[in-house]
Amino acid sequence: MNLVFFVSGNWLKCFAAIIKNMKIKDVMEKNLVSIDGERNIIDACKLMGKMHIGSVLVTLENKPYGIFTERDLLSKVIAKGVDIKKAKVKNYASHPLVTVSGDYSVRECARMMSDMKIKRLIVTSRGKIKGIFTASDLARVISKSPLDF
Amino acid sequence: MEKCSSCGRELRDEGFGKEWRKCRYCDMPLCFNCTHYLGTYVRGLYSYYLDVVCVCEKCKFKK
Repeated sequence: MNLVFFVSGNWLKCFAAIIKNMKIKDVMEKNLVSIDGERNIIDACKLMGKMHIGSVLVTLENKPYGIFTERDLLSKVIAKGVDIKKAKVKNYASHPLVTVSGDYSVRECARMMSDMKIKRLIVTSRGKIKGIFTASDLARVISKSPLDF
Repeated sequence: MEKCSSCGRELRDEGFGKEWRKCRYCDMPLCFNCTHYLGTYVRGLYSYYLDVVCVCEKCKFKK
């Protein structure tokens, strides 16, 4: 059976308004992948490759310490010729974590990332990590929005 | 109705958080076009985090 959907202009405007006011806590990635800071960089690379992600949260004694990203891998490890089989992740991770409240809108977080030249924001609530909002989440949200967004 | 402290644009009361915010340091209203962001150290549950806060142009480089 073929279903025909009629999309009215009002519906598009309503949808655009929803996306403009959307909070990052609604679109963030809640499942954070983490690695112990004492592990080697190659383990982090394998994990990132296996999970198809660009960063891992680094923990020390089960507490969040920093984030190891593709940029860290390029600029701090590969560019300096560090042995990835011996070097520990904790020494090359970005620290401290850049955090933001989940009540900020998607649009505002896009500006924050642009202003601070970063691609990932850790979402916290009362000092506790709740998720991560990345540039790819932003692309996902915008791709679902109408063209006049 | 408030006005943006930087550009003077009128800000609707119901638009707070959506169209404008207040500077974290001087508490002056700011429209989103005049907003700047700054990382400040805050004590979290486990360690220190760099929390991103909304500031005006004058407060951006204050320490």
